[in-house]
Amino acid sequence: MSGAILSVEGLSSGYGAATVVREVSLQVAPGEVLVLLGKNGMGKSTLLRTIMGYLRPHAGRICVGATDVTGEPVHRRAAHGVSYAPQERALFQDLSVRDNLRLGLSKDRDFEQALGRVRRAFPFLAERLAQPAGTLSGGEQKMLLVARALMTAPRLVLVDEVTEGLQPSVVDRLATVLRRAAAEERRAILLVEQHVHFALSVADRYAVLKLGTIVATGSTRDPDAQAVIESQLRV
Amino acid sequence: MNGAAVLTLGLDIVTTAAILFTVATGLLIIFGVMKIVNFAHGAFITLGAYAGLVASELGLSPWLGLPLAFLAGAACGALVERCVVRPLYGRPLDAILATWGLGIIIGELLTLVFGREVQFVGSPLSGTVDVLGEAYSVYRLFLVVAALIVGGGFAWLLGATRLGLATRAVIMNEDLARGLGINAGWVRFITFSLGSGLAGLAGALITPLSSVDPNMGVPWLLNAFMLVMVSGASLGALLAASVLLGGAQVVISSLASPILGGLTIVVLAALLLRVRPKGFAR
Repeated sequence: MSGAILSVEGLSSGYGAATVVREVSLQVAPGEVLVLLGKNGMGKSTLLRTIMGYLRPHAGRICVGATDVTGEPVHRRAAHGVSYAPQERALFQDLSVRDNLRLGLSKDRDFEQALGRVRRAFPFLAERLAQPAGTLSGGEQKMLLVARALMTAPRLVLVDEVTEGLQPSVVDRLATVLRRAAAEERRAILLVEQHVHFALSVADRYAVLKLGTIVATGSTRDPDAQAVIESQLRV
Repeated sequence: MNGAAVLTLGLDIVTTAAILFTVATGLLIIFGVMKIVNFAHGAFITLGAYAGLVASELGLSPWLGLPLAFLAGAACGALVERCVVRPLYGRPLDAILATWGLGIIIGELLTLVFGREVQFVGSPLSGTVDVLGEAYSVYRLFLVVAALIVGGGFAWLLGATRLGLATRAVIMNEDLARGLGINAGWVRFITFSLGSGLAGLAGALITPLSSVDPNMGVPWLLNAFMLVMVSGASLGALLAASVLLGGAQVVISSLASPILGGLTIVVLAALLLRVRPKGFAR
């Protein structure tokens, strides 16, 4: 796919000598949402952590736009327009909502403009800037996490299991925001999910990961997409 | 004890707490960000004291000795972070041993250059001032102002600047901070240099009260280490620890014996950690 924001080629990675992700290749274009589905322990989060630079690949290549970032340190990936919403320990609990959002930016002078985007996506956050992030509810924290990931107007957003344990109204809100970020703002989004309905409502394409390998891919608009995904997740 | 003695004791407690706070702040910030105890802190204090001595022997203003001491400590700290500490980030125990060894080397180098003898530096402020009818050292009172400037400056740096926000983020969750584009290596470099610079500044500030010799930093290091252990990474907790433990030191030194007073901070901090592992930290 020419013009892809994220290109992963033959990527293998894991922890120490243990290989968790095996020869994965995928691409995400501007304005596109790709969802990675799979049961627990199949390597989804490991793949995101490798793309983000926390784990050094055993083999393969990661490009953001035309730049090969495979060997670059984690903090440099943000400079290439990559933004990451991890699954766990993802907010600075003792810092205010404002400071958590500020940390999504590289310069404070962009804050007011970026806050406009946050206000549009999650109006309640703009009203509670002084509140410590740790005192927000679980759903509110997830919304703050996504808001922070979108602060920099990133080219690529990596989102790890954002819907886990959330009530349906929050899931719907997150789906709308992510969909809009892709469709209207042309962000490329790579989503890791277990929630099939959410995945199908947000994503353009899916890939199912099993034992670290992609075993099925397709368009979420295919009539049999849900059946294919569920059959792969059952086995 | 009469009223005048109580007043003097109170002033001694306040000024001693200020001195301890100033001496320990650099160690605290390095511990907070890097999770290592910089055992070369005592050597940087000594280095700062000698910077003050050199400034005085060159006939410069004693006030100029303070920024020179800060710069000497910061420059030495920057070099040490780059060459010694950085390769040991993943091995905190080795980093502690390396800084301990480095402290010994810096002490020996200072001995080679300046000799073993005890030397003295004049005070930039001499004489006494009247406090509620009691004459008290102007310089000791100035050290309270210096501690307020150091503490206030640090609180401002951490609370009101972008660098401070990045530093707090690294303290709380370094992995997450890196994912947000924060160069944690740069934050650590700045922190170590700044902490070492503060040690140098503290060395120059305390010399008019004592004397300068190549081992003068060691007792200060021990007290600063114990104060940091009971304070975690909190500047507020360090202030509380300096006032309470420093106060106990003054009281015991005055009422019992200066030798027992010298042990007070170490013993009380160890007891406190036994009862409450977090010490004064929340």
